[in-house]
Amino acid sequence: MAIRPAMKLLGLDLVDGWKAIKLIEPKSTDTGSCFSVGYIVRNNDGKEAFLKALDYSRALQSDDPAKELQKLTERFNFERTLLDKCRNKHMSKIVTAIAHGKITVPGESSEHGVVQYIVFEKADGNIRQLYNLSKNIDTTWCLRSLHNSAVALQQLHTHGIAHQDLKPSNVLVFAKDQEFKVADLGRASDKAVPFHYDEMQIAGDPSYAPIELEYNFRISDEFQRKYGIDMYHLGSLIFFYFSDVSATEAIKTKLTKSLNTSKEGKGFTEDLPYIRYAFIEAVNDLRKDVFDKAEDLTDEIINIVQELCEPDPSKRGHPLDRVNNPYSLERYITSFDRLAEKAEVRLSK
Amino acid sequence: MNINDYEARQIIPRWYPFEMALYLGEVLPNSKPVNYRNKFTSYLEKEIDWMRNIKTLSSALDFVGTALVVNDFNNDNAVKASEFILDNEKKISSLAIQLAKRYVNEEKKISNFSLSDDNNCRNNIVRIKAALKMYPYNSIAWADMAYYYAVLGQNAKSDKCMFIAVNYSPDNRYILRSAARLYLHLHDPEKALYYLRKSENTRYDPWLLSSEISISEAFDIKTKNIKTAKYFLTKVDDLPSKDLAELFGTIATLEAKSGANNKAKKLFKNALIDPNENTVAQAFWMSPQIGLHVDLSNKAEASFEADGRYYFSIGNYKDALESTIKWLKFQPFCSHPVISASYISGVCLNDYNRSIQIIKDYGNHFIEKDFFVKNNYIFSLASLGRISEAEKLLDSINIGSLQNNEKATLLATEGLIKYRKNLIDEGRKLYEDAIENFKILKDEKRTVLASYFLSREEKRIGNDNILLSEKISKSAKRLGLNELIPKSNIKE
Repeated sequence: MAIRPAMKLLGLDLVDGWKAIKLIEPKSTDTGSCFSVGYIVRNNDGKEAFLKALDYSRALQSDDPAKELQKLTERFNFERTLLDKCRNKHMSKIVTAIAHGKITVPGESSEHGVVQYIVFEKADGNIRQLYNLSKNIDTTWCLRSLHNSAVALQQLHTHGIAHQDLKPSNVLVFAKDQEFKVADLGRASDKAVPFHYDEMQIAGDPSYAPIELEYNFRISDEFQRKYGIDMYHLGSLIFFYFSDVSATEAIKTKLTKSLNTSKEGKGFTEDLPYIRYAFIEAVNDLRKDVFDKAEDLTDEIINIVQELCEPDPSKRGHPLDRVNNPYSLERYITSFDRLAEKAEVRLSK
Repeated sequence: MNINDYEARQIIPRWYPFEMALYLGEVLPNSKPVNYRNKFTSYLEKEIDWMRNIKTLSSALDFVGTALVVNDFNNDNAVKASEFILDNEKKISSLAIQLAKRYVNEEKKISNFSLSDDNNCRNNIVRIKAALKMYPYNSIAWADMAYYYAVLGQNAKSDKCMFIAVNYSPDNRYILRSAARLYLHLHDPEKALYYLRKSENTRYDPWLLSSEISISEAFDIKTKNIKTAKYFLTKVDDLPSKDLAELFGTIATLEAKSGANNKAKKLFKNALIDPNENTVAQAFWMSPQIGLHVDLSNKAEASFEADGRYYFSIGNYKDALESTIKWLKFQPFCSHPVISASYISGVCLNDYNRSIQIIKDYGNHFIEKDFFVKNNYIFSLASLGRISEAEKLLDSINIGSLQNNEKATLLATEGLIKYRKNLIDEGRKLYEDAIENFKILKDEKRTVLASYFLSREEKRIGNDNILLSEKISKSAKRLGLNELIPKSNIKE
């Protein structure tokens, strides 16, 4: 089988003096997109960064390659525009693009040999890679990453962007600055720039998606409802850190029969009591796992999970914000910060 | 299975804690979930990732979790990943272990459910109360708490909890059926029907439709839903048989009641394709009338009542008692199985001690609420010669509150006590009065039963009347009271 053009960037000179020095083989802990190829790139100053090259090969194997190619390119360009917006708005907790460009791979036709790419700041890994199962969890590390992720979402929401695919593999770790940033806007939606993918039933990873999406249930057609999905994803990270599974997986585990999500819309409100029951059972188990690690912080953490992962999207979020600003993350940012500090103090004792 | 057996049994909805209802397939649709495997590239990537790379717990969990979410069951790779997770269960959380078990379908078996004893109920109430404090919107938890209070006989508290549950989720099948069953338990069929009829879902959900019709029929309340149900059953080829079983059974019972036995038989055959235990019990109960053969070997899970009925019908009272005790534990808030179990033990097996123990263990809170439980208790005490205890209980009965058949039954029980106190004439007179009253009430079964016990007491004091015994035996046979036949010819 011929080597895909996106796999042939090693050693090539790219935009702004960047050069691809290492192809990143996907690891077992990555759940990133299979429509891109990763590289480590280095510039003339010796600074290293991460390059994401758009890989057309799967699109070309599809039944309708032209259509798939168009979709892929549109999404890539959309992500690039979003990244520019994030950089221009100084979103400090979003992994933004340093540069982007395209290159014709030598020896390939100008039709299929053009590879588009984006250069990002290089992280030390993502949470999914670095996380070593809940048994070895560092509570401070988790709470700090939750705080940073909440800030990232708030930054996006403030500028009318919903991430829609926040999950452990999309939270990157920058060890030098002891910082976490949210990456991968490939599934995001921008209120200002409607995109046809905005209407996708489940934009991100299904195992992290709130259950109302499976039923295609919407509390409203307002764009803001997508922020509620981000809130659920944020709460789901807590499930992942302390219990190794996502909130959605935990709920499905607790229901010994599968939901019939083909009953769209109304089916969700009919099944909501069951989903809620399963959710609470899951939270009860989570509480034990959180208590083992977070001890006196448990109640507050569990309270946050309950509010963020509330199965009823109309009741998601902080009760005091429900009327005026239901998708506000500010209280959670404060809470995670305070909790992380408490955990740090305890650790230093 | 006892002298008070249903005159017109209906498929009244059962009531269980949520997890058991879920397990028995009465909560969520029984259709096969749609497999969304090919809808999500990210899932396929996770599968490839698990297959190609070094097998880590993290990738196994990610893969199996998503397989569960997208309903990709029976995927060999995911099964292997689940086994890998379970082999390493010491390294992961309890939720992660449960996830793998859930995927490989290591579901609970009915025998794993702790059937409700009082301690278990109290523990569950404490657990649910704590959970509700944290999260009060959980209507299922409110309904579960109502269930445990009902088992403990604390009906007012049960009512209060169910009120909250049904107001949080007025259209939910599990809540509505549970509420309906509770209100019947509280002798308020109108309230049961009120909530069922208030929900629009009752017109579309066969489980609710069946509940509405069966409760209306059982209490002679007019229902407008029979036509809807009949029409519904002709239009629902795409619904799983399990979801239609109760409705087919309920309409079959109606047809049988109006004498259309062939129609009833045909409908029951549909009901029995994939029935729940309540439908099996109903079919078995109806089978002599309509000439239906019910194959109990292929029956539904937890068919304790049907098993009890079967063993009782063939005169295997020992197994009938064991099955009835299981039924009793399965529906512990219901007095009917307590009456049946104490009847089988006392009348069929002459084991009065066991009869007393059954009532003490499982029906203690019914003694003051259900006349027949108390009567069976007094009867067993008196039959053992524990007269003072029997009299004490007898004195506590408020005769004014009794129905006519209960008053006549009480006369017979008083007669037994007099016999055991050697007040023969008074005892005989009371039995004769009881028999007379039953005759006036045209209650043939109780007439024969009272005659049988009068004859038993006469035999005890040496007045064996063979002709009378034969007459009783003949009547018992005609009425299907087989439990009275062999003993009526045996000298005690």
